[in-house]
Amino acid sequence: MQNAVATYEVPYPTVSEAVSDILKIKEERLEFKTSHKVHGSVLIPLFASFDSADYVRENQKVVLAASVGYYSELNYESLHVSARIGRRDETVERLSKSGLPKAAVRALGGAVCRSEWRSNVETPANSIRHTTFYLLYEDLQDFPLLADELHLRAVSVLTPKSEIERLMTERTGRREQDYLLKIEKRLFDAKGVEFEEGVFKLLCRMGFDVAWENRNPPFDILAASPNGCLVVECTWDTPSVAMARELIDQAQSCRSTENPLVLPVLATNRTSWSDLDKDLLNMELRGEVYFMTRDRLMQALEKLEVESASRTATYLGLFKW
Amino acid sequence: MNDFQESRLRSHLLNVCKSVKVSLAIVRESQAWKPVYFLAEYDYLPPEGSFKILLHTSQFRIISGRIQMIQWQGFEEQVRNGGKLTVSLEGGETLAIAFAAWDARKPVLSLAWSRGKHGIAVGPIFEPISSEVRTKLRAVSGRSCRTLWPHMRSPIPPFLKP
Repeated sequence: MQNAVATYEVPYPTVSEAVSDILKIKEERLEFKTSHKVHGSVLIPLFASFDSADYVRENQKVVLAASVGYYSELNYESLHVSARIGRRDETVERLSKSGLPKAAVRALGGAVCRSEWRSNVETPANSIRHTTFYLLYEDLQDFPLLADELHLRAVSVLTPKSEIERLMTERTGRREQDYLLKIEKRLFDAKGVEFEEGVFKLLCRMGFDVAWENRNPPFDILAASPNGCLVVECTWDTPSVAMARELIDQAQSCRSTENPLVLPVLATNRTSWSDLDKDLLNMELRGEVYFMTRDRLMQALEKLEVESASRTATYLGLFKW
Repeated sequence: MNDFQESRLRSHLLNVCKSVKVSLAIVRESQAWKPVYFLAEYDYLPPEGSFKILLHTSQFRIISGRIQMIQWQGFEEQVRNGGKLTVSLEGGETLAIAFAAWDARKPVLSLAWSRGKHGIAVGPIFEPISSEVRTKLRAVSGRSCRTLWPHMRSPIPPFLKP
């Protein structure tokens, strides 16, 4: 009976779950979970590994940069980095091993050092298909040890933002231009029709099917998707309860059995969410209306910028180079 | 990695590491404590005086402690060849753990990149995740712990307990 009392105080249905939770080991790595065999491991960490690695653009050149973390008692002169760059034409550029710079930042109470390694690359950014970094530990005589390996795909940003801005310069002879900086300016510096256009373009980029209405309807933008629709009113004035109520009524009139989920959205680039009136916040808490405030517009644009780059890179694969 | 290389690395790390963190899941069988899981990690933190009890029941315990490098050498000998291991628990209690002989597999080098990618990090002893040499050990007898947990449960439902 005494055993039972003790066991019921233990909130684990199995031995493996108890060991996994308490010793922080993935349960599927415990052999007695599946085969019920008792077992163990001896781990000898090498106390040196890559923190991160990336391509850095310096003028027109590419520089390889890696951050290495190592235990402070290790002899840093024994740590070397080399790299192998695979080009699109199947040839290879090899960077011979070189040591870490002496200057290191200490972390974790001084126990861990971090050093930044850099090396210039001959291969142009657009020719790089992938790169492998190797971290070598050579403190043991005639026994170099591969302490870590890290892989990078092709250079992700070939054309920097500043160059895209230059390419997108507004000039006569261009029928239409749509670019992120333009949306950003419309969203945060404009009012009236230009602000509406900024919100319209933002919603387009988000992937909604969007209609920008004439002056007659009491809302500015209808954004449709298979999972719900937005009825958007843009305002440069400070949002008011009356404004929100009118929009809620308009959203209600758009609802139907075929289009059951319609959210009224009041977009403003003048006010932050934390500055909204208490009554308005309560309306949002009740799920009656959503306020797309200046800070939320900013968050949405930042998320969009990251996602756009990733999505465009995928579509870029459809085009043959 | 071959045995020679592993041995060279170990002797090198003896000068660098300060302790080995030993974690054990043990079960009481026939009045003796026996291991069901065992993990030893070389560490750069200083050793501690005693083992902490992380889970305590009358028949099953999980304990962990950071022991001296020299102490580990004797400890490992008993794990591999079989023997009685005595550990001091916090609070002054002493616990004897009976190890049967365990077989060691060939040491394997596991790179940090691969470990991070597959999400198989073990223990926060080195930040960032470090590459490691892992030697797996298995009890020679292959004793099963399949029936451990049911034995620890009461045949009487908890709501009927006095």
